[in-house]
Amino acid sequence: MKPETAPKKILVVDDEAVVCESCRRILIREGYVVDTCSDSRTGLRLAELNHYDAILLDLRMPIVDGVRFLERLREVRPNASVVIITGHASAESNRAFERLGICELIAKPFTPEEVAGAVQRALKAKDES
Amino acid sequence: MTVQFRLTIRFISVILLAGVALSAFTAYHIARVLLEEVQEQVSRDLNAARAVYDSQTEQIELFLNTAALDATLPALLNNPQQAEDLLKALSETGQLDRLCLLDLEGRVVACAANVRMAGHDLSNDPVVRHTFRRGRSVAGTVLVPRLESETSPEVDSDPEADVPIAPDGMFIALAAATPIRDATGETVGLMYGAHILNNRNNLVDAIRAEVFRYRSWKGIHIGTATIFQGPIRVATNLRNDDGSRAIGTTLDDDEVYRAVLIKGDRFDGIAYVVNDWYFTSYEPLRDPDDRIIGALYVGVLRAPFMETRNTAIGVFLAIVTGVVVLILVLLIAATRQVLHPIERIVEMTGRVAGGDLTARVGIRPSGEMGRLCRAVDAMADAVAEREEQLELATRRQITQSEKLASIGRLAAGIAHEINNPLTGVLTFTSLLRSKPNLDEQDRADLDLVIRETTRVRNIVRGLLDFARESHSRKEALNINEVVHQATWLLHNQKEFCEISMHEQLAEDLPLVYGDRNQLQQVVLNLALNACEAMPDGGTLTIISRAEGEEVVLSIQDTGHGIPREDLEKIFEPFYTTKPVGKGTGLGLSVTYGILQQHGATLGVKSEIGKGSTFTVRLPIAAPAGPASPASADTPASATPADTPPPAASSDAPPPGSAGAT
Ligand SMILES: Nc1ncnc2c1ncn2[C@@H]1O[C@H](COP(=O)(O)OP(=O)(O)O)[C@@H](O)[C@H]1O
Repeated sequence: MKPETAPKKILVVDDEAVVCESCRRILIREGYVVDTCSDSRTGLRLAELNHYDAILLDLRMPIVDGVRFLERLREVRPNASVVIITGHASAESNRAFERLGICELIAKPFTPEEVAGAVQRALKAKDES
Repeated sequence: MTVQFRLTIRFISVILLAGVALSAFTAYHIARVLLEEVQEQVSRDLNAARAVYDSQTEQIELFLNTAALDATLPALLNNPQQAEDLLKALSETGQLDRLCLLDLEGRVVACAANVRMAGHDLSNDPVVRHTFRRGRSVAGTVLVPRLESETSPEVDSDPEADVPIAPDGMFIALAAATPIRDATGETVGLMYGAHILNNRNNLVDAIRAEVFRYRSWKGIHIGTATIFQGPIRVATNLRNDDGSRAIGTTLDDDEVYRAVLIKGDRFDGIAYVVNDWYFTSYEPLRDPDDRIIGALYVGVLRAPFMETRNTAIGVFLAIVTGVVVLILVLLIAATRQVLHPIERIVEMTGRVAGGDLTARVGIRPSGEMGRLCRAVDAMADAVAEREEQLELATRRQITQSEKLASIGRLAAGIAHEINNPLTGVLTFTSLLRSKPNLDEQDRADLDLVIRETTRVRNIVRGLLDFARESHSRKEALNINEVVHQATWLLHNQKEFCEISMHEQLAEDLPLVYGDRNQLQQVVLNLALNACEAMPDGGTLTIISRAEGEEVVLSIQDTGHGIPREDLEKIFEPFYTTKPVGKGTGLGLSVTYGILQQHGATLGVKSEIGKGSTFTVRLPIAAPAGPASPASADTPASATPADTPPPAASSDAPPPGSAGAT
């Protein structure tokens, strides 16, 4: 499934450059427009300035912790689809994500198919709602 | 009350009772035998006394018979004057108080000069009458009237020794009569003689001498003899309190009186005589007409025998008491000996209970007690050893869980660090791989990189599973459901199609309180290990049952088993016997960690070549406990408990299956 009209815009926030770059390459190949940034403060500003269809977010970021980042993001972009990239899924974060409207969860390290599938599902869920 | 006290009291009472009974019995018998013996002796003594008495009578008869042979007597019958002198001389020789010649009518013709009896009619005297009737001499005891010349005060008024008493004016006497015959042998008259017994003590004294041989006790003769005239003592060696002879006193004992003087029987028995108790024997004295006119008595003072008896009983009692005391002493010593070890054991067990495991009874008495002591000590040894082992095991367990915790933290850190580079490797290799113009060799190489990287990823995820242990979401759940889910997953693994799986799940199983996902992982890990132990097929059996306060889950396989020396190691992280790429060695440690968090235990039994059984024991949920299961988990939590598990967590494969996906 490829976007037919305007390409969807996606923001990737991860303090690890290699992760950002991986996501960018995977998603570009899928036909998305991708912005990346490796610190959460910049990521938050980018999200305020631009409209992103989906935001991929690493929870274990320095400076602003992923969960805190999410709460702030919800204040400015309550409708954005959020896909969490996590080192490891744990029950407590799962529950926090539900509250914060998380759509999908990707565990690092991921395969390109996992990332593509998760973003696709997140966008679809948003479209339906 | 101590056992010793009770035992001792019981023994003492038994022994005392026995002692008292024995003493009473024996004392009674000593007394009886002794006293009966004396009484019998006294009865025999009476016979002897009687013999003395009778011989005295016979002597008189003999004397008269001899005197009657005098040829001058028939002539003298007609010459009383002349006869008097002869008779007087004879009476002195024969110690006779009466000696007279009677005519055929029984009238006194002549008598000894000192006795004025001429003209007295003696035809009523039984001796005289019987002599006439039988025509030969007769002797016996008779009553003879007191003569005027024989002055006597009234009975009782003056017991002066030399004045004979004469109750009712009569004397009791030994008398004999013999016929006087003339030359032709014709009886012409009678010679009559009598020896008065009243106040004549020589007979009774002779009896005493003859029969009792002057046996004495404390200076008094204990043997006594008495002649009664009717109930009155007329000759006796019994003494009044003042020392005088008890002449003139009467027989007071009613029983004796009736038996002897009225019925004419013998009496043998203890009686109160004059002023003391005697063993007595009485016999009536009868005249030739068989009338009872008096009695003969012998008696032996009872006091010395009582003294003997009392001494005997005393000695006996002393012996018994001594023996009883001795037995008691021995007994108390014996019970001490028995109870001493018991006290030691009580003290020792008290100390052990108080925590001093080095306490021992120590002593070794002989017999059962010794065995008991040895057994108690052996038990204490065993307890101490067990305690030591337990301590060791606990310590080992503590180190084990500490090790797990630190490895968990370490692993988590490392895993996160590895994840990021791995992400890059995986992504870019995949991207490379998807390029269309790759040659066959490159594609195969890239596939290998991807596969190996995926393996690394799985190892890392296993590590993180292992590390993630502090946050679980517990709820009351039925372990059977968990088992169902886990086996459902296994059924879909075509790798295990050779294995037949059985579930023996108890119905109505109590709920346990736990994290569904974690428990499912436990079951999966154990079941996967079981399946992997049976590469050539076999049977996997999962059994659940309730046991007391626990739910027990057994996972049995028929696989290759675990060597004994490996049993401890298998729970250690990274211990695996599986080929590289197959096992991570984390499955059992993760399982162990999860179960520990649930307050559950994991046990294993295994036999080489036959199979292994892993047993999980989960405590059942407290009825009211799990009402709000989510509350304690995280401060950020506000979700209800029935939230479906997030997708990602079901994505994560169980660590034991690493590389199989
Ligand atoms: N059911 C079983 N039968 C035989 N051996 C077993 C069984 N379960 C575990 N083991 C042994 O214990 C080892 C450790 O198991 P585990 O910790 O799960 O790691 P892994 O399965 O990844 O090797 C295994 O390698 C295996 O030798």
